[in-house]
Amino acid sequence: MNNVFKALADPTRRKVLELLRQRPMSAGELSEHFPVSRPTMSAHFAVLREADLIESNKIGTTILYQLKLSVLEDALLSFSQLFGIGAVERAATKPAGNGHPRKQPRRS
Amino acid sequence: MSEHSSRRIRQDIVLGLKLGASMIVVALLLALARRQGWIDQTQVVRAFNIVLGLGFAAYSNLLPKMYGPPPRSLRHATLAQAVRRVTSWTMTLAFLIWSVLWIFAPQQIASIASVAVVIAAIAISLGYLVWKAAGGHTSKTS
Repeated sequence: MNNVFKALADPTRRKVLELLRQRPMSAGELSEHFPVSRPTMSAHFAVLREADLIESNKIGTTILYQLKLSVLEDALLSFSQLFGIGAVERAATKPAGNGHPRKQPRRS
Repeated sequence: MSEHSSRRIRQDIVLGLKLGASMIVVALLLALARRQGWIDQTQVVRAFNIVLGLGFAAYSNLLPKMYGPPPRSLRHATLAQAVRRVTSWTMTLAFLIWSVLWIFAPQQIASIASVAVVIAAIAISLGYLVWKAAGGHTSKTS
């Protein structure tokens, strides 16, 4: 259960689950919704898989992610969305303006 | 069948057997309590139905996590996910209502209404399955 709370605490992972509620999606389709790199997304998928909240299946050459939430976990996800848990964190990490991640200034 | 799949199936079977065994233990304990004169027949029926409802609600809660065959296509995966989710929700709520009815309602009403609620939940799940399989909301998924 600890893994589930850890997985649901992050707004990006909650958004992934929200998207998967609509229909199963490939990693590429999911990544399109987030201004983060593929390795970061893979790490998020790994946390969700470890918590047994999603599963991946191979169809042809595509790896498809599917939701695997119990009713209790589904309700927990809805509650955390409703009360905006992690919203402050999301506001702090949200890229400004154009939706692309801000470039870090290079240190010389 | 992969090692992961067989482990998953084994886990699901063990879960079902544990649930069945715990129901039998509860029934035996209630029968013992009745024989000892601690509770009467009405309380035995009520208590067993409350436990039955909670047990099946817990089992229905885990339906989306149980083993299913790997999807053959995106459409199949979408259909399976949606049907599992709706079935799980309706059955869990139905069995929770079953327990609540056996806690609060008069026995005559509880015995009829609890069965009616579960039949309604099965009808909703089947109706949803037929509707989805017939092509309901396919525009997003195809």
